[in-house]
Amino acid sequence: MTFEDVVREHQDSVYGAALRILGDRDAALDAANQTFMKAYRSRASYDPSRPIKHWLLRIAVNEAITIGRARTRERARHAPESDAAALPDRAATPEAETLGRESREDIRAAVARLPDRYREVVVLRYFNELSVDEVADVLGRSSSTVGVQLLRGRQLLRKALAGRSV
Amino acid sequence: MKDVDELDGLSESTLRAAMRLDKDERPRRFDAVAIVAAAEHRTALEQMLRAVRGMALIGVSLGIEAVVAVAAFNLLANVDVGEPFGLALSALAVVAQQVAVLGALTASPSVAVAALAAVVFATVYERTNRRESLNVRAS
Repeated sequence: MTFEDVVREHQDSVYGAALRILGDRDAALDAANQTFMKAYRSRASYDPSRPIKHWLLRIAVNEAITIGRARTRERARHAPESDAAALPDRAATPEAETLGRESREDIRAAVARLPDRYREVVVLRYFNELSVDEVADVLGRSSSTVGVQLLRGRQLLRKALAGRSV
Repeated sequence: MKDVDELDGLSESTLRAAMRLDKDERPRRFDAVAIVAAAEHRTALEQMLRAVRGMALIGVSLGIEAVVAVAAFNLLANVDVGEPFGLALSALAVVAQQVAVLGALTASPSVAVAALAAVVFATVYERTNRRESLNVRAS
Protein backbone atom coordinates (compact mmCIF):
# COMPACT_ATOMS: atom_id res chain seq x y z
CA MET A 1 0.00 0.00 0.00
CA THR A 2 1.50 3.35 -1.03
CA PHE A 3 1.41 6.48 1.09
CA GLU A 4 -1.07 7.92 -1.39
CA ASP A 5 -3.40 4.96 -0.76
CA VAL A 6 -3.08 5.48 2.98
CA VAL A 7 -4.01 9.16 2.67
CA ARG A 8 -6.95 8.40 0.40
CA GLU A 9 -8.27 5.61 2.59
CA HIS A 10 -7.97 7.37 5.93
CA GLN A 11 -8.45 11.04 5.13
CA ASP A 12 -12.08 11.11 6.25
CA SER A 13 -11.29 9.39 9.56
CA VAL A 14 -8.33 11.65 10.29
CA TYR A 15 -9.94 14.89 9.16
CA GLY A 16 -13.27 14.02 10.78
CA ALA A 17 -11.70 13.23 14.14
CA ALA A 18 -9.76 16.49 14.03
CA LEU A 19 -12.89 18.40 13.03
CA ARG A 20 -14.94 16.97 15.86
CA ILE A 21 -12.17 17.64 18.37
CA LEU A 22 -11.50 21.18 17.18
CA GLY A 23 -14.91 22.22 15.90
CA ASP A 24 -13.29 24.27 13.15
CA ARG A 25 -12.70 23.26 9.55
CA ASP A 26 -9.54 25.23 8.88
CA ALA A 27 -7.93 23.99 12.06
CA ALA A 28 -9.03 20.45 11.24
CA LEU A 29 -7.46 20.68 7.77
CA ASP A 30 -4.26 21.91 9.36
CA ALA A 31 -4.32 19.05 11.88
CA ALA A 32 -4.99 16.47 9.16
CA ASN A 33 -2.16 17.77 6.98
CA GLN A 34 0.20 17.76 9.96
CA THR A 35 -0.91 14.24 10.80
CA PHE A 36 -0.09 12.88 7.37
CA MET A 37 3.20 14.75 7.28
CA LYS A 38 4.24 13.39 10.65
CA ALA A 39 3.10 9.92 9.68
CA TYR A 40 5.21 10.10 6.54
CA ARG A 41 8.25 11.35 8.40
CA SER A 42 8.00 8.76 11.16
CA ARG A 43 6.84 5.89 8.97
CA ALA A 44 9.87 3.87 10.03
CA SER A 45 8.45 3.69 13.56
CA TYR A 46 5.14 2.22 12.40
CA ASP A 47 4.57 -1.37 13.46
CA PRO A 48 2.87 -3.04 10.48
CA SER A 49 1.40 -5.77 12.70
CA ARG A 50 -0.99 -3.18 14.15
CA PRO A 51 -3.78 -1.27 12.40
CA ILE A 52 -2.50 1.77 10.56
CA LYS A 53 -5.79 3.50 11.29
CA HIS A 54 -5.05 3.44 15.03
CA TRP A 55 -1.57 4.81 14.46
CA LEU A 56 -2.88 7.66 12.29
CA LEU A 57 -5.67 8.46 14.72
CA ARG A 58 -3.23 8.64 17.58
CA ILE A 59 -1.17 11.20 15.71
CA ALA A 60 -4.32 13.04 14.61
CA VAL A 61 -5.72 13.28 18.14
CA ASN A 62 -2.39 14.57 19.47
CA GLU A 63 -2.16 17.11 16.66
CA ALA A 64 -5.73 18.30 17.12
CA ILE A 65 -5.30 18.70 20.87
CA THR A 66 -2.03 20.59 20.36
CA ILE A 67 -3.60 22.90 17.79
CA GLY A 68 -6.67 23.38 19.99
CA ARG A 69 -4.55 24.39 22.97
CA ALA A 70 -2.52 26.80 20.86
CA ARG A 71 -5.71 28.39 19.53
CA THR A 72 -7.14 28.70 23.03
CA ARG A 73 -3.95 30.41 24.22
CA GLU A 74 -3.99 32.68 21.17
CA ARG A 75 -7.62 33.65 21.72
CA ALA A 76 -7.02 34.32 25.40
CA ARG A 77 -4.09 36.57 24.50
CA HIS A 78 -5.86 38.61 21.86
CA ALA A 79 -9.54 38.68 22.76
CA PRO A 80 -10.87 41.01 25.46
CA GLU A 81 -12.16 39.12 28.48
CA SER A 82 -15.77 39.88 27.65
CA ASP A 83 -15.36 38.35 24.20
CA ALA A 84 -13.55 35.30 25.51
CA ALA A 85 -16.39 34.55 27.87
CA ALA A 86 -19.02 34.72 25.14
CA LEU A 87 -19.62 31.29 23.73
CA PRO A 88 -21.73 30.89 20.62
CA ASP A 89 -25.37 30.45 21.46
CA ARG A 90 -26.44 27.46 19.47
CA ALA A 91 -30.04 27.91 20.57
CA ALA A 92 -30.07 31.06 18.48
CA THR A 93 -29.47 29.19 15.25
CA PRO A 94 -31.74 30.59 12.51
CA GLU A 95 -35.11 28.91 12.40
CA ALA A 96 -34.54 27.97 8.81
CA GLU A 97 -32.26 25.25 10.13
CA THR A 98 -33.99 21.99 10.69
CA LEU A 99 -34.40 20.73 14.22
CA GLY A 100 -32.22 17.73 13.43
CA ARG A 101 -29.42 19.88 12.15
CA GLU A 102 -29.72 22.19 15.13
CA SER A 103 -29.50 19.28 17.51
CA ARG A 104 -26.47 17.93 15.75
CA GLU A 105 -24.80 21.32 15.92
CA ASP A 106 -25.59 21.54 19.64
CA ILE A 107 -24.05 18.15 20.29
CA ARG A 108 -20.97 18.92 18.19
CA ALA A 109 -20.46 22.25 19.92
CA ALA A 110 -20.81 20.56 23.31
CA VAL A 111 -18.30 17.89 22.30
CA ALA A 112 -15.85 20.53 21.10
CA ARG A 113 -16.03 22.17 24.53
CA LEU A 114 -15.37 18.99 26.54
CA PRO A 115 -12.05 18.77 28.39
CA ASP A 116 -9.36 17.16 26.20
CA ARG A 117 -9.30 13.71 27.79
CA TYR A 118 -13.07 13.25 27.45
CA ARG A 119 -13.25 14.80 23.99
CA GLU A 120 -10.65 12.38 22.66
CA VAL A 121 -12.50 9.29 23.81
CA VAL A 122 -15.94 10.59 22.80
CA VAL A 123 -14.75 11.43 19.27
CA LEU A 124 -12.91 8.15 18.76
CA ARG A 125 -15.85 6.17 20.12
CA TYR A 126 -18.73 7.94 18.42
CA PHE A 127 -17.21 9.50 15.34
CA ASN A 128 -14.60 6.90 14.43
CA GLU A 129 -16.81 4.17 15.87
CA LEU A 130 -13.99 2.37 17.61
CA SER A 131 -14.64 -0.08 20.42
CA VAL A 132 -13.56 0.82 23.95
CA ASP A 133 -10.55 -1.50 23.59
CA GLU A 134 -9.60 0.11 20.30
CA VAL A 135 -9.88 3.60 21.79
CA ALA A 136 -7.66 2.41 24.63
CA ASP A 137 -5.16 1.09 22.09
CA VAL A 138 -5.13 4.36 20.15
CA LEU A 139 -4.68 6.54 23.22
CA GLY A 140 -2.37 4.20 25.12
CA ARG A 141 -4.72 4.07 28.10
CA SER A 142 -6.33 1.11 29.82
CA SER A 143 -9.78 0.02 28.69
CA SER A 144 -11.19 0.69 32.14
CA THR A 145 -9.85 4.23 32.09
CA VAL A 146 -11.40 4.80 28.68
CA GLY A 147 -14.69 3.34 29.92
CA VAL A 148 -14.77 5.72 32.86
CA GLN A 149 -13.78 8.67 30.68
CA LEU A 150 -16.55 7.83 28.21
CA LEU A 151 -19.08 7.71 30.99
CA ARG A 152 -17.88 11.01 32.41
CA GLY A 153 -17.74 12.57 28.96
CA ARG A 154 -21.34 11.66 28.30
CA GLN A 155 -22.39 12.98 31.69
CA LEU A 156 -20.76 16.29 30.84
CA LEU A 157 -22.46 16.30 27.45
CA ARG A 158 -25.86 15.66 29.01
CA LYS A 159 -25.23 18.48 31.45
CA ALA A 160 -24.18 20.84 28.65
CA LEU A 161 -27.18 19.90 26.56
CA ALA A 162 -29.69 19.97 29.40
CA GLY A 163 -32.73 22.03 28.51
CA ARG A 164 -32.05 21.81 24.79
CA SER A 165 -34.17 19.73 22.50
CA VAL A 166 -31.63 17.02 21.71
CA MET B 1 -29.23 -3.40 23.01
CA LYS B 2 -30.25 -0.29 24.89
CA ASP B 3 -27.39 1.76 26.20
CA VAL B 4 -27.31 3.29 29.64
CA ASP B 5 -27.99 6.82 28.48
CA GLU B 6 -31.07 6.21 26.45
CA LEU B 7 -33.36 7.28 29.29
CA ASP B 8 -31.61 10.66 29.36
CA GLY B 9 -32.33 11.27 25.72
CA LEU B 10 -28.69 11.09 24.68
CA SER B 11 -28.27 7.64 23.28
CA GLU B 12 -25.17 6.26 21.64
CA SER B 13 -27.01 6.23 18.33
CA THR B 14 -27.89 9.92 18.75
CA LEU B 15 -24.27 10.71 19.46
CA ARG B 16 -23.07 8.69 16.48
CA ALA B 17 -25.58 10.38 14.19
CA ALA B 18 -24.59 13.82 15.45
CA MET B 19 -20.90 13.17 15.01
CA ARG B 20 -21.11 11.86 11.46
CA LEU B 21 -19.64 14.11 8.77
CA ASP B 22 -22.24 16.01 6.76
CA LYS B 23 -21.84 15.98 3.01
CA ASP B 24 -20.67 19.58 2.99
CA GLU B 25 -18.13 18.85 5.72
CA ARG B 26 -16.17 16.29 3.76
CA PRO B 27 -12.77 17.63 2.84
CA ARG B 28 -11.44 17.91 -0.65
CA ARG B 29 -9.02 15.15 -1.46
CA PHE B 30 -5.72 15.53 0.36
CA ASP B 31 -2.74 15.84 -1.94
CA ALA B 32 -0.39 13.05 -0.87
CA VAL B 33 2.35 14.23 -3.25
CA ALA B 34 2.32 17.72 -1.75
CA ILE B 35 2.33 16.27 1.77
CA VAL B 36 5.37 14.10 0.98
CA ALA B 37 7.18 17.06 -0.60
CA ALA B 38 6.48 19.26 2.43
CA ALA B 39 7.52 16.49 4.84
CA GLU B 40 10.82 15.95 3.04
CA HIS B 41 11.51 19.66 2.85
CA ARG B 42 10.94 19.99 6.57
CA THR B 43 13.13 16.99 7.28
CA ALA B 44 16.09 18.51 5.41
CA LEU B 45 15.62 21.84 7.16
CA GLU B 46 15.35 20.13 10.51
CA GLN B 47 18.50 18.12 9.96
CA MET B 48 20.40 21.30 9.20
CA LEU B 49 19.01 23.02 12.29
CA ARG B 50 19.84 20.03 14.45
CA ALA B 51 23.40 20.03 13.12
CA VAL B 52 23.77 23.74 13.87
CA ARG B 53 22.34 23.31 17.33
CA GLY B 54 24.49 20.25 18.00
CA MET B 55 27.66 22.04 16.97
CA ALA B 56 26.76 25.04 19.07
CA LEU B 57 26.08 22.86 22.10
CA ILE B 58 29.40 21.04 21.62
CA GLY B 59 31.14 24.41 21.46
CA VAL B 60 29.48 25.64 24.62
CA SER B 61 30.21 22.43 26.53
CA LEU B 62 33.86 22.41 25.36
CA GLY B 63 34.21 25.99 26.54
CA ILE B 64 32.80 25.14 29.95
CA GLU B 65 35.10 22.13 30.26
CA ALA B 66 38.11 24.23 29.27
CA VAL B 67 37.32 26.88 31.86
CA VAL B 68 36.85 24.21 34.55
CA ALA B 69 40.12 22.48 33.59
CA VAL B 70 42.12 25.70 33.69
CA ALA B 71 40.59 26.65 37.03
CA ALA B 72 41.36 23.19 38.43
CA PHE B 73 44.95 23.40 37.24
CA ASN B 74 45.45 26.81 38.78
CA LEU B 75 44.06 25.55 42.05
CA LEU B 76 46.18 22.42 42.10
CA ALA B 77 49.35 24.26 41.09
CA ASN B 78 49.31 26.10 44.38
CA VAL B 79 49.05 22.94 46.43
CA ASP B 80 52.27 21.60 47.88
CA VAL B 81 52.20 18.05 46.76
CA GLY B 82 54.57 15.22 47.21
CA GLU B 83 56.32 13.10 44.68
CA PRO B 84 53.36 10.72 44.05
CA PHE B 85 51.34 13.60 42.71
CA GLY B 86 54.17 15.06 40.69
CA LEU B 87 53.60 12.89 37.69
CA ALA B 88 49.84 13.37 37.75
CA LEU B 89 50.24 17.09 38.04
CA SER B 90 52.67 17.34 35.20
CA ALA B 91 50.31 15.28 33.05
CA LEU B 92 47.48 17.58 34.01
CA ALA B 93 49.66 20.57 33.19
CA VAL B 94 50.27 19.22 29.70
CA VAL B 95 46.54 18.71 29.17
CA ALA B 96 45.73 22.11 30.59
CA GLN B 97 48.20 23.76 28.23
CA GLN B 98 46.34 22.23 25.31
CA VAL B 99 42.96 23.09 26.72
CA ALA B 100 44.07 26.62 27.52
CA VAL B 101 44.07 27.36 23.80
CA LEU B 102 40.40 26.41 23.68
CA GLY B 103 39.81 28.36 26.84
CA ALA B 104 41.28 31.46 25.27
CA LEU B 105 39.09 30.95 22.22
CA THR B 106 35.92 30.61 24.26
CA ALA B 107 36.90 33.64 26.29
CA SER B 108 36.20 35.69 23.20
CA PRO B 109 32.72 37.20 23.67
CA SER B 110 31.86 36.83 20.00
CA VAL B 111 32.27 33.03 20.12
CA ALA B 112 30.17 32.63 23.24
CA VAL B 113 27.47 34.98 21.98
CA ALA B 114 27.34 33.29 18.57
CA ALA B 115 27.10 29.83 20.12
CA LEU B 116 24.36 30.86 22.52
CA ALA B 117 22.49 32.71 19.79
CA ALA B 118 22.58 29.58 17.61
CA VAL B 119 21.17 27.46 20.43
CA VAL B 120 18.43 29.97 21.21
CA PHE B 121 17.54 30.46 17.55
CA ALA B 122 17.31 26.75 16.82
CA THR B 123 15.24 26.10 19.95
CA VAL B 124 12.83 28.98 19.33
CA TYR B 125 12.48 28.00 15.68
CA GLU B 126 11.59 24.44 16.56
CA ARG B 127 9.12 25.49 19.21
CA THR B 128 7.33 27.96 17.01
CA ASN B 129 6.96 25.35 14.32
CA ARG B 130 5.93 22.65 16.74
CA ARG B 131 8.87 20.58 15.64
CA GLU B 132 9.51 18.76 18.87
CA SER B 133 10.61 15.27 18.00
CA LEU B 134 7.58 13.15 17.35
CA ASN B 135 7.06 10.77 20.17
CA VAL B 136 4.64 8.42 18.55
CA ARG B 137 4.68 4.74 19.09
CA ALA B 138 2.94 2.56 16.58
CA SER B 139 -0.21 1.42 18.28
